[in-house]
Amino acid sequence: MCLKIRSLLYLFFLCAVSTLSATERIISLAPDLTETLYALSLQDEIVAVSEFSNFPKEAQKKQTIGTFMAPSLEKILYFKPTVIIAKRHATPQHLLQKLRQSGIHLLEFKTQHEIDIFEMILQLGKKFGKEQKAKRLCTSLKEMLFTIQNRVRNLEKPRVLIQIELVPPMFVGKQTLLDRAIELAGGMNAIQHHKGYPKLQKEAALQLNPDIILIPLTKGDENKSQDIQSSWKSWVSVPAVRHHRIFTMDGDLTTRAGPRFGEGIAHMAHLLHPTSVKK
Amino acid sequence: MIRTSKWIAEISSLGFLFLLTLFTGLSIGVEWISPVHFWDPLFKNIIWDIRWPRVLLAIIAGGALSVSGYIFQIILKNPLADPFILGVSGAACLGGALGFLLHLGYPLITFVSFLTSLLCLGVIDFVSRKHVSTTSHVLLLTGVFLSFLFSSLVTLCLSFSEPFEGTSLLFWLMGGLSFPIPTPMLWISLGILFFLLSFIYRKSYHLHLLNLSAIETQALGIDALKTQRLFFILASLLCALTVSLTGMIGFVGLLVPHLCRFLWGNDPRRILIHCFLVGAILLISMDMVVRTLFPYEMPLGAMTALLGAPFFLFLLWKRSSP
Repeated sequence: MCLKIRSLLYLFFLCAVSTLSATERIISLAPDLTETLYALSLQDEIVAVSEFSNFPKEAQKKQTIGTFMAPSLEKILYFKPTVIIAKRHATPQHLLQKLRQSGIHLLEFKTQHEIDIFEMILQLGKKFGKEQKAKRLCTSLKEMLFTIQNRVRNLEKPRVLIQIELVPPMFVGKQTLLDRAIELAGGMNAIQHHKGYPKLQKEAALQLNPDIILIPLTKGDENKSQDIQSSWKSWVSVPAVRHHRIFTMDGDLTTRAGPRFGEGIAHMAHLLHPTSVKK
Repeated sequence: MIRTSKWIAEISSLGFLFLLTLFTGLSIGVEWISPVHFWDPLFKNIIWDIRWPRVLLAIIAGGALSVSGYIFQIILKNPLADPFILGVSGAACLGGALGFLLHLGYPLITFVSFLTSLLCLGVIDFVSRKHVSTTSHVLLLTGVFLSFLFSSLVTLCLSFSEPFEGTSLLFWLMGGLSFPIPTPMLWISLGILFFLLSFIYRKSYHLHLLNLSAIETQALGIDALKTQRLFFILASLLCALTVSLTGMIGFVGLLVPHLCRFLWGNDPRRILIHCFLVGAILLISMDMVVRTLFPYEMPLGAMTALLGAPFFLFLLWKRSSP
C-alpha cells in the first residue's frame, strides 16, 4: 500500500514537472542566447529566435521574430511567450519596456566579460531547472579559458586591432566582449582610449600601429572582409601589414557571448601566438 | 562672356584661396604635415592615399553640388531649390542602398548608384517632355514625388539590412568623403565634372535668360522649355555624379549659390566659376575642420548643415535688416 502511494506520488510529481516545463515558452532575442539555450537542452521550450540564430543547425528551423536590433513586437506577442531573454544594449529599450508592460517575464543579460557569460548560463540554468548542466557548461568553459591563459601568460602581448566595418571604419574599443577576448587570447587592444565601437578616421587608426589586425568574418560578408584587408595593403609602415599579420577570424565564435566563447578565444590565441597555441 | 578686370581679379583671388585651402587640407589632419614632406617616404602614404582622395572628392562634391544647386534655383525659379529637390539624388541613394544590401562592395556601389540615378533622370525627362506645354511645376512635382518614393524604398532597404550593414548604409546616406573609392575613378569623375562644367559655362548666356520671364525669353527667340530641359539634365548629372560618390552632403548646394549671389550678383555668366570654387573651398575646409577636431569619422553631410545653417541665417537676417 505504502509503495503504491509512493509510486503514485512519484508519478504525480513527474507529471507536475513535465507540465511546468511544457508551459514555458521562451523567445531568444540574440543568436548567442539561442546557442546557450540549446547548450542547456532547452530546445523544446524555444518557440522563436532572432534572425541569424544559425547555431546549432536545428535553431535555423525555429520561427524568427526579426533581428536583435529590430524585432517585431507583434510577432513576439503572437507566439505567446512566457519568458523572453535579451542582451542588454542590443535590443532597443523602448521595445523591452513594452514587452515588460505586456506582462511577459523578461530576462536581460550583460555580455561584456566572460563573468557575464558564466552568470548568464547559471541564471538560465536556475530559471529553467537545468542547474547541473549549467554548472557543467561553466566549468568546461572556465577550464578552456584557464588552459589558454596558462599558455599565453608569459608571452609578449602583441597590439591587436579588430576592424569590424569598412564604411565607416569601425573598430573594437574598450569595455566590449571582443576587447576582453583580446586580453584572454594573450594580446593587448591597440585601442585604449575609446569605449565601445569607435568609428575612427583611417589616420587615427594608423597611429595605433597594430602588430596584428583581425577581421571577424560572418557568412555572406566575405566581400567586406576582403575589402577591409585590401584597404590596409599599401600601409607597409604598419607592423601588421609589413609582417603579413592581417587575419580573418570566425565572427560567430568570437563575438557571441555563449558557450562557444572558449573556442573563439582558442582560435584567436592561435592567430596571436601561432607557435605557442596550436589549433 | 563677362571678363572684366574685376571679374578676373575675383577669379584670381578665389583661385588663390582655393589653392591655399587645398594645400592646407593636405597638411592638416590628425597630425600636421608640412608641404615640404608631402613626398617624404614617411608621410607619402598619408598624404596621397588618405588626404588627397578626400580633398579630390571635396572638390568634386563641393563644386558640383554648388553649380547644380545654382542651376536648379534658376530653372525652378525657387530660391529654396537644392540639388536634392528632384528625385535624381533619391534614385542614387536607392541604387547605393541596393548595392549595400547585395553586398556589392566599392566601387560597384558607386556604379549602381550612378546608373539608378540616370534611369530616374530618364523618367523625369520623359514625363516633362510629355507635358511640354506645362511649366517647371510639373518637373518639380514629378521630381518631388519620385523623391518621396525613393526615400521610402531606401527606408525599406534600411529595415531589411543586417545590423552592421544598416549602420554602413546610414553612414553612406548621411554623406562623407571617406569612402574607399579608387583614385583613378576619382580622376575620371573629375574629368566628367570638368566636361559638364565647361559645357554649362559655354551655355551660361542661355541660363542667364532663364532668369527672365517667359515672354521676354520668347521675344529673344529662345525656346525656354528646351533650355530648361537641357539645364535640368546637366544639373541632374552633376548631382547624380556627386551623390553616387559621396552620398548626400546637404546644404552646400543651397548655401553656396545664395552666398555667391549675395557677394557677386545674379548673373550666371559671372558667378558660375565663383560657385564652383566657393563650393570646393567650403567643403575642403569643413572636412578639414571636422577631421582635425575629432579623431572619429563623422558624417560630413550632418556637419555641413550644422555649421552652414547658422551662417545662412546670419546672412539672411543681415540682408533683410533695414
